[in-house]
Amino acid sequence: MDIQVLKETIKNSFCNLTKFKQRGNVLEVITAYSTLNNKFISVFIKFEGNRIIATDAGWIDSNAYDTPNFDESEEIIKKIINNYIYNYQIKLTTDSDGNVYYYKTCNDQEQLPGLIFDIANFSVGVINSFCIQFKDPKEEKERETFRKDANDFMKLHYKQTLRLNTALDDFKNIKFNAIVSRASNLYLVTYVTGSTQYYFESDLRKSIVNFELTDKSKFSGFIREKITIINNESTGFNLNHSMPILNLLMEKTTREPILWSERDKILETI
Amino acid sequence: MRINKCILDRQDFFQELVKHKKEIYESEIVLTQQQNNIRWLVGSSQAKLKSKPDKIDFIVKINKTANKYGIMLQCLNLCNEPYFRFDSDGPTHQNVSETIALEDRQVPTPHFNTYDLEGREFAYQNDILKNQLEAQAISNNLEFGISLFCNEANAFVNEDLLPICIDSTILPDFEIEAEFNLNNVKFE
Repeated sequence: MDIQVLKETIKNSFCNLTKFKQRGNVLEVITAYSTLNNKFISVFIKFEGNRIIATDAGWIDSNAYDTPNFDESEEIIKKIINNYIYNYQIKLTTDSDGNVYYYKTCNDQEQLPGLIFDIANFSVGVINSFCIQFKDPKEEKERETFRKDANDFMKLHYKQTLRLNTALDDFKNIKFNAIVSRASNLYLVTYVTGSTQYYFESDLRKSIVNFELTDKSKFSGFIREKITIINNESTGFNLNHSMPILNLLMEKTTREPILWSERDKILETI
Repeated sequence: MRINKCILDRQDFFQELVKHKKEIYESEIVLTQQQNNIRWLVGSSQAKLKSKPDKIDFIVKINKTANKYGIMLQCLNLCNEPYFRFDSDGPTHQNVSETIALEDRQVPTPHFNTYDLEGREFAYQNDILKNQLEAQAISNNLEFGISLFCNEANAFVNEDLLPICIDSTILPDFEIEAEFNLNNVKFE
């Protein structure tokens, strides 16, 4: 094997991935950078007087790269984009329709390859973050199914006295899965489920914090019961592993958690 | 790489949908504003295979701001995504395979997108699109694109006619004329 030939082959193959498309007064550079959804990143070059602009031409914002839309990932994607913007010192502008353009500028042609490199790296990072489903679809499904089953059970038995996914009036951002109000008594209910131990215990922790905070509410005197319904049919349920957190939860509730398989006990309590 | 399992599981049906002759019902496709995205105009007609009752959608989408359009065939009985598509412009696609030389993995637009029998998405240019001048003319003209697409996809109105598109938001006979530019963007 001729190592020199090999080196040349590799270098040429990589270099030949960089291609160009002239679009009027704009030059499209098809770069060698490829995304998780198998698109090659394009960077567009525009000359304005002495200034050279390298931009994504609005392709990221207009979803020209055809990335999936995971609504629930919006917050995390924002964080990723901001990190990339900061790291590559990317600037933003918008056109008259409100489309966002990411870009960098220079006055010296020698700096241009560096600009293209930065915009391309930035674009790959951003597009890839759109391609990843950060939330676990199995977990989402399990959570949704249990929430629906538990809500249906509560609706069946408590009708008008029931409010679902609601907060105490003075702690708007602390929501309970269900609140039953009966003759100036409040019954707070949280649901705990999870497809893994991690998600299950994360629900437990949330219940602990929420119940703890109710002590500071001006309605605390009206709270008759604090109850947690545990989905013991969920795959993340493991009594032994989660015992330390369960014990802590029991310090914050008015009685032991009610297992979903024994849900009729709720009727004895409320 | 992502595998489209619906196509993998129903290879025969998929091949039939791609290769066999399809009848497009409407001779005029009326384009209207896409509801959830103001950048796109969209219009469609029902279509079907001669041999099967499954509903197929022949869809045309135009993005006037970006001077590009897409034409696609979708069959929801097969999968939720279009199974055969033409992109007049946009990013270069990568056909991922260890057996394809790195340079040959790039398929620039305009190109067709479809799936192989393993359910892997791939892009290709037919002989017409490999000719740069013809490709450019097709990118700039929706009628040319429809003609190319219908012949490649074997989908016609009444045996051998092409559907025409009517833009309900402006005058008819819409043609993409403006060239790609960044003139209305102010860079600091």
